[in-house]
Amino acid sequence: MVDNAFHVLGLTPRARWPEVARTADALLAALEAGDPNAEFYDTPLGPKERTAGAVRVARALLRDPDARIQQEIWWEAPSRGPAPAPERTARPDAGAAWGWRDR
Amino acid sequence: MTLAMLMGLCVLGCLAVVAAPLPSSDMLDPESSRARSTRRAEARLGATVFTLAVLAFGILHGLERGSTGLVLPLVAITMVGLVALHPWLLVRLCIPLGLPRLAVSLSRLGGHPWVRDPEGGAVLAGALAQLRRPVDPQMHAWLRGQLRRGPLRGAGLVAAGLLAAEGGDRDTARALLHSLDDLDPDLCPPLARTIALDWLVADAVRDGDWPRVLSLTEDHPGPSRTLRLMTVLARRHCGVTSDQPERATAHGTSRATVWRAWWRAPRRRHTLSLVREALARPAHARPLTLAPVELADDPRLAANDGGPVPSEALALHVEALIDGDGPGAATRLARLCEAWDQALDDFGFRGHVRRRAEALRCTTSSEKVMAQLHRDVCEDVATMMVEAGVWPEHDGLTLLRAREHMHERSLDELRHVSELVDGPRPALATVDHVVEQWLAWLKVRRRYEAVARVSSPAGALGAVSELRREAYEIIELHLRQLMAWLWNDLGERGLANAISTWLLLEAERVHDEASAAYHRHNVALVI
Repeated sequence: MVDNAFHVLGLTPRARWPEVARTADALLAALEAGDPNAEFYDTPLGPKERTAGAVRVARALLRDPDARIQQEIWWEAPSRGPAPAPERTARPDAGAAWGWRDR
Repeated sequence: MTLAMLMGLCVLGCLAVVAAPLPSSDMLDPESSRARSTRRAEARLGATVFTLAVLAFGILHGLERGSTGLVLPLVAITMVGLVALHPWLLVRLCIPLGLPRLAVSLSRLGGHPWVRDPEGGAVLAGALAQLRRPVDPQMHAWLRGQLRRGPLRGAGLVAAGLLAAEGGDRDTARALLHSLDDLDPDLCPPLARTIALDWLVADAVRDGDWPRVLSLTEDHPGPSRTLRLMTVLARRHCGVTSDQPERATAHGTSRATVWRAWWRAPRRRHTLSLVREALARPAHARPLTLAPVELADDPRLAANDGGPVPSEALALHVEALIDGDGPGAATRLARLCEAWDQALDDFGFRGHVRRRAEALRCTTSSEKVMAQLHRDVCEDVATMMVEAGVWPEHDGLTLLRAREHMHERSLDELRHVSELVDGPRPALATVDHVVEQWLAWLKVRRRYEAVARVSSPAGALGAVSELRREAYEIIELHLRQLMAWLWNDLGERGLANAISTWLLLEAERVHDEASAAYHRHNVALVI
């Protein structure tokens, strides 16, 4: 679900193949250029890091109709975002209470 | 004459202490670890009494003759003798001064507190001293090399853990320090356990994970003053009172209790910020765990309950993935499977998929598309079942297939993980080889226990599933070979015994009589 090809490319099932190919190429170029806007994509489970490999896989999946229809079904999953992380304050110097140095 | 007699009696007393049979010789094998460590402790005690007797005799003899010139040399010689017998007196000074080599060399003289693991204890003393000085990779490598001078036991494992943490590998350190509980208590000096607990608590504090601090320290029988302070701070953070630790309250631990614990603890300057942080938090009622989900709460679980097919199933799928092993996982997964059963049987959804497959010009039929979807769903549910450690109760097709997937996948993964313990086993193994194999066994056990949790549902107490039996057969084969290598080739009897003990317990659980008999025999061997 988090690797859904439409999510990776930031598209909807309405997108036809030319748009898919164009978007994938643009994303690959942006990733290569280090564009921060291309580094993450939204999924139903929260943001995930986008890699060039994931973009290539997504493009290949959407070109194959048999694989694309599966991606379309899973694309409909509603977004809820990641589980809230517990509130924690890290204490890198905790060892000092025992006389140990930080590491 | 009286003095000579006194001296003679002292000597005889010392010899009797050293040579006397063990008080529990009927119960103990003289070659066992406990017997050897007891003999070591008794010999030290006898020598200590003898040294003090010589000092007393010398002083009294000198005073009788009116000469005090011998007193100072005698006291000096006695001090040297006592330090040689109890080097910990001096090692305790070397540790805060950051003198690892001296700490190791002195600790090699033996004695308290490392009588159960003299070699490992010496390295642990060095590792503790190393923690007080700047990072030194050369010293780190030297200390690791020193570990192989004897079999790896409790103190050695703690030293290996501290050195792993020193190298930045905290996961390995955690695994090694937690694994102390697997060792025979006679192989682990109590001080090594205390140091391990101190490090684990410091690690949890470092992560700001106060519930973990509480779970580590809550039931400790004799906590140090620092550990007591950390427990109080954890209670304050988690909103737990000291008299009712199982209940979170609105008031938590009082400010006076926190300040009292801080005042009693050492290194107050370093712990003051922790105390201030704990007291700065508003008194709050944050329960340690979420309230369990009751069956009546089920309708609240879905993000878009009752939506068009397959939205409900997809929404539940997202919920189940996010909530994982949180409360109500079994109910959540059962409901998810039921939703998928309904979605996959829904004529409207099937028709929609058929039309879409035609529009896309799929090469496979819509039935195959649905079958593929069902397989993906079942694999996902199987993974979620293993991760959550639950066995949902439902009669639908999705759950049935998910269980089949889980069965196959669990065993495949277990086979894969078990191969870790088949790693290189050189005849001349370094401490890295031994630690690596020990960590591999811990990993296999973790994986097995995850499978066991799912395969022995709480509702079927005492029942052992076929999956657990098959899982045991897989790991037993690999672990038996590892155990034999540790015992026969390396002489790591403590580690081999720990593995065999665990295998024996598990063999009895899955009613594998042959395996249980084999491991019972191994466990009975002297370590």
